[in-house]
Amino acid sequence: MNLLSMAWKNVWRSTTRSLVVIIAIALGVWALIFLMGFTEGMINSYINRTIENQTAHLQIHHSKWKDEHLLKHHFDQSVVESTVEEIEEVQAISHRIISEGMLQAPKSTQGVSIIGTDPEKELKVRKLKESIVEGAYFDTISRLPVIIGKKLADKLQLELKNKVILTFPDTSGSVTSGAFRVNGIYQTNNSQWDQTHVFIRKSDMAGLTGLPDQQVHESAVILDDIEKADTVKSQLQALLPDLRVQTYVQISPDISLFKESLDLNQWIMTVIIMIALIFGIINTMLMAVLERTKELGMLMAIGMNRKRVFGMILWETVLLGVVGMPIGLILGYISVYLGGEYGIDLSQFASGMQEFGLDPVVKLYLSPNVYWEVAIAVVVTALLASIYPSLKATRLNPVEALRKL
Amino acid sequence: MKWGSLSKLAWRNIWRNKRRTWITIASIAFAVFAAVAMRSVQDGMWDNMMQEVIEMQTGYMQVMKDGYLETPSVNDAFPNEAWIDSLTELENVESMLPRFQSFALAAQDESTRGIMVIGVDPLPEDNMSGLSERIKKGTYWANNDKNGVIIDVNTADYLDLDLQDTLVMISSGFRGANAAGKFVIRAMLELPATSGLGGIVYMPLHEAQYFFRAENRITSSIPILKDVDDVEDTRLAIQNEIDTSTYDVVHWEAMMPELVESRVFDEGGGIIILLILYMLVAFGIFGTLLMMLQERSYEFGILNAVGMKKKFLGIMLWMETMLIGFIGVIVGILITLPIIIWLNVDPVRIGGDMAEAYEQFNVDPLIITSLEPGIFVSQAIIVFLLVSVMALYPFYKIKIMKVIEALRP
Repeated sequence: MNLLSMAWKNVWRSTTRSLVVIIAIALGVWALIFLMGFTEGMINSYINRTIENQTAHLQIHHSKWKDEHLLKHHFDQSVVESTVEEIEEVQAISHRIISEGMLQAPKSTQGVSIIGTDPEKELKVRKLKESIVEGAYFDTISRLPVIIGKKLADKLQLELKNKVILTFPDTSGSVTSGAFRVNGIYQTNNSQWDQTHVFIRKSDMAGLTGLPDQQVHESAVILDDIEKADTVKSQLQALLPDLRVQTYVQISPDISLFKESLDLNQWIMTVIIMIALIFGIINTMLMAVLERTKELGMLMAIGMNRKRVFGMILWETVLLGVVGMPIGLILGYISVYLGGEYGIDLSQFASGMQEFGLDPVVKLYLSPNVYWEVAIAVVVTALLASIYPSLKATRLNPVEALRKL
Repeated sequence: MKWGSLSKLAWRNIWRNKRRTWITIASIAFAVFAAVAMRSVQDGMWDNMMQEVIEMQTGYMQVMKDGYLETPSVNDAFPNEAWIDSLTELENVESMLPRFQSFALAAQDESTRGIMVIGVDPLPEDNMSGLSERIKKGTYWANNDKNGVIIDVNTADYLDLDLQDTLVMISSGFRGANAAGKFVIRAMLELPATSGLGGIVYMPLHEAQYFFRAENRITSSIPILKDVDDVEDTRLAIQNEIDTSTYDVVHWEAMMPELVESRVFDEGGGIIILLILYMLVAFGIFGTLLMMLQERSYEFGILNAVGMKKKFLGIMLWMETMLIGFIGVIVGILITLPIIIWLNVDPVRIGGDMAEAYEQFNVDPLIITSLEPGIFVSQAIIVFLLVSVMALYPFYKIKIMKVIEALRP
């Protein structure tokens, strides 16, 4: 009879005890998978929303734009346009004129970033039209329309058709103002962002600032595949040496920080839960060994060597883990799948999440390789937990063991 | 049977199998360690942040025009009259700190930037918010020297301004008046990364009032409290004194609901992990109980046969489990204490990338712990409940035990 099948039979000699450990392992794995799916889902949605609403996949700026957002740091959009045509991964591009400025409402005043955009082209790189909650996108004909964020509208008590004054620098070095009408109110997942960014038409912005035709501050690019962002970035940068091309990760460094902290977070959760499991396993296995003193002594007396005794106990422990783990993994997979399909609505508990660009409806997601990592972690945990009980078993003295009741 | 002898029996019983007891204690101690450390750091960091924000920005409460909180407007500035100062007659109010706060556009050559203008009473303001400690360049106002303005370092950099340079600002003033002014920069200060504020310029109250054309008006008045543990009571007392048809006194939690909510959300996440941890530990304890019942069934049979009532057997087992639980809690707390006391006395500031990640969420990356007794007590209560629930199982087992069968070897 080989060790493995002997260990398997031993496991089921004390069904309740083994089941307690197996259930603990299964529940631990399930909870772990669920928690990790929750965190990863939250971070994923943050990244997707940031790309959709703010950064796009790539952005092109004047090389000095990063240090100072000045009116004079503009570039010719036609140059970018013709360069981009050669790259087939590029799906859409939109050019913008941007200025820091002030928005005066009848009740109050607020500092904002003013984005002058081409309504048609912007549609393909920013989900602005989709996020309009009141009024309309630029398609209604109105003189000097502006689209503002919901948070800003609430704060300044602005409604559709209200008049606001936008003030920003012009090319002559002084400031210029224009009276705009609120044409639409948008709301993204990031209310802090909504509060500080307003959109007007690029043509209106060019007229007021006096920027020459074709001159812009920012080009946003959407690719057919997000994975290609780095390669296309280098490609574009080589073709446009005077400008600065950045990926969404470079524009929004918190994305990479999130990804890093996600890994760390998953690691810590795994370790905590595995340590909690290890105690239960050690205790159970130790008892399984001690109550079988006589039996183990007998086995040794009839010629089972210490190595095989060690191996048998080790197998018993690992089997507990190997039975519990898949149950936990499957339950975890099902809950992550369902949680990903339907989403978990937290808006009741945490509307503050929106302040930081997190979706209140969390759609669970877990990278497939994490399941493998958890599986390996459980096996390692079982192996570590088995060392002490197994050693204990090999140290029994057959003669004394047999004498015991 | 006396309780004393029962507990003595329980105590002796748990040490009959030292190894098993210690492993169980270790598992509980680990859970308590993780729980106390996590709660303590979370509480400590949030308390520290909240206090910083309260002192630096909002105070514990503010008296303001009704509706100013939702839609702050310079037109809601109100006369700084005697009734405000008379609030200091209330028991917990030491003094009233006036502020004038509104928004302006700062310009320098080709760059412009939105900036928050805060008019303050220089010396009392410093007592509350410790502004002078945040000065990086230049000096804070003194008793006989109340000229110039103090701007935050980032905005100064952005506008390429240095000490003694002139800051030009335009805005809309009180009741639609035009506001424009030039100010000499006397100092620069560094804002806490967590403030979530853009640019800020501080100036003496009368300068701000002049700039916004609102003579002798303020936008809010902050009661300085003698005892900060009594915020809500004091707020209600003030509310009783003021004309609530025009004015309002607002708790800091209402001024920063996002911050309060973030805390709840953050702590909620931690508590879920702890619940899972405790659940796993409970399974460990349960496993131990099962085995103990099995191997001691003969002994229970004897005890019952010689006259110990099943009820007392059950209580004894409950006591045993409870003893193990409490030793676990105590060991766990003892391991945690040195670490959290050390971090409380000498907080560690995280640097580098992690710090940026924290700041993204307006969290100060300072690892500081809280020594709030509630944290320790709550762990003891959780273990108590956990053990009590699990001890129901041996109760039940003992109750259905058949003495004859138990005595059969």
